[in-house]
Amino acid sequence: MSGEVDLRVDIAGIKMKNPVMTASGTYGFGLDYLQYYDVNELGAVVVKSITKNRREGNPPPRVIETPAGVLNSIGLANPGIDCFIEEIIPQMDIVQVPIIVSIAGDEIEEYVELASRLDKQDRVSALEINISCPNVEKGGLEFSTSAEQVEELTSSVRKATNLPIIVKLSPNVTDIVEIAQAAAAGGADALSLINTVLGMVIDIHKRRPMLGNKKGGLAGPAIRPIAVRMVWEVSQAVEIPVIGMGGICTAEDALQFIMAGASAVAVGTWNFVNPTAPVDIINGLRDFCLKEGIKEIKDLIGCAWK
Amino acid sequence: MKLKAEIVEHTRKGHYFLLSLYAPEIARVAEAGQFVNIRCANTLDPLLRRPFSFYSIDRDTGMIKILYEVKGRGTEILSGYQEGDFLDIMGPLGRGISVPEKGSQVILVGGGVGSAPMAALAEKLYNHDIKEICVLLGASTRDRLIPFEVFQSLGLEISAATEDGSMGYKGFVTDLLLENIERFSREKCLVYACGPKGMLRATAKICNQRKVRCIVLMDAFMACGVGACQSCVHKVRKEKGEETYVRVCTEGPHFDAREVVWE
Repeated sequence: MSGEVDLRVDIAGIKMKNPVMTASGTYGFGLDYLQYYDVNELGAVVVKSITKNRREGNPPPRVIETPAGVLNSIGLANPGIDCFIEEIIPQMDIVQVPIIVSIAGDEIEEYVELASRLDKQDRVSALEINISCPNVEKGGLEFSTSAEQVEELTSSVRKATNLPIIVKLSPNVTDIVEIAQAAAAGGADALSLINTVLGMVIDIHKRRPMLGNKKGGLAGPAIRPIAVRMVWEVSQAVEIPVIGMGGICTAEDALQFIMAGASAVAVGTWNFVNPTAPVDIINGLRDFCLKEGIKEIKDLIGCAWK
Repeated sequence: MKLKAEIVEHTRKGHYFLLSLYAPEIARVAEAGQFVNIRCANTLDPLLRRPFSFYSIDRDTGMIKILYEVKGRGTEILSGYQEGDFLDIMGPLGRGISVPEKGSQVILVGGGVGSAPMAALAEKLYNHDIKEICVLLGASTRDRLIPFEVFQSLGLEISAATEDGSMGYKGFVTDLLLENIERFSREKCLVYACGPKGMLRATAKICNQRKVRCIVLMDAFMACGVGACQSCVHKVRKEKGEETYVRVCTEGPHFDAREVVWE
């Protein structure tokens, strides 16, 4: 049956057998969910953001459950690029599908250094530039809110690597289209959107913000309509492909993003609730296409525009 | 693994609920100290699963039991399920507690609903020939002490403390620990503790002063339970003295108390 539907997509030269990937920060380094399904069923794996130096991350509590969502402030906890290259990439041997490495930094130079080091790694298929982590002091959000800075950062990274570059955009901006166009102008091969929506929860008994870092990023189904709207706007305004994410739980959710213009989708928070969600979604996409007589999933990309 | 487990029994035990699930695949491999992540609602709100440590694991019958307290919306919804209903559970998660060397003398210290994993641990130790086990249970009041039945069925020595004096000693369970620890051999004694942070901290301090080894089982708000999300971290001190965050779900939930940084 599966032969009847072609789920393949090509994102900036990354050949994926289906459009479903994992969202950075929700899937570790692709090794935490091995007992639940074969990781090689995925279209691609996006690993947790890597920074130049090891980062301990923010003080707990790092996550608060909110209505249909999760407010988190992990703070880019990661082992750093040296450990990633020397210890983690070898462990990721089991992952045969494209590996997309998310990188984050405080300065443009840090992104450039990370990109040039990862450029030499055979197992890395693409870089996702995380310019939009809301939970770190420097960099992150500062980059993501200025079109000029996004273009400068993207073009600097562009010069440092031949790998496809995916820029992950923040929804915490006045005009996401302007930022998306700046990334495209800087040489991005694709865009990922959206990162988390800035938020806060107050503990009324302590009369203080609940999160250790006070503010955090809202993720999960609560932000899905925001994400779909942004994918819709951005994908029509740029020539490069868009990877859609934000509260995707089911194949129906994924289809909304695809029809809004996403060429691929990523599952994030929902991995925590349903660890087999990515494969359930792949199967659901195939079933939908079969039922609707769609031969290639590509035909559905942006079909809601008309 | 992730599976649907049938509720075989769901009853009130004082302030708590005892949930018995038929999950032979999990029971076969689960160890005391580990936990399951239960999806309490089939809706998007509340969104996340809730972690519960094993209260009992029976490989022969395929039954696992958890003892929980209704604390928020997730557990409130969970308490409404009936016998015959099925629950979506993930597990076993976390590291199990291994059996200490033969001849060890064990003190189990439990506070409130945190005492639940001590029942599974007592059974495991007893079945592995560690029979010298002293059980110390504390709670704010009588109906918040966990049931004694598991410990009683093993014939273990049990002492209880309640803050209001409604049962047993009036005061903290750590007072009982202070009183009891003196009669144990420094070399052979091993303390396991689970409960509120303040209780764990006080237990760790007492053990440290007595130079008795202490293992604490930590609780944390979790999202994934498998190590991916980095939400449930707690600060520990490594051998060289540097402090680092570790994940309670995968690197714990039990830690050597000397490593834990109490903030």
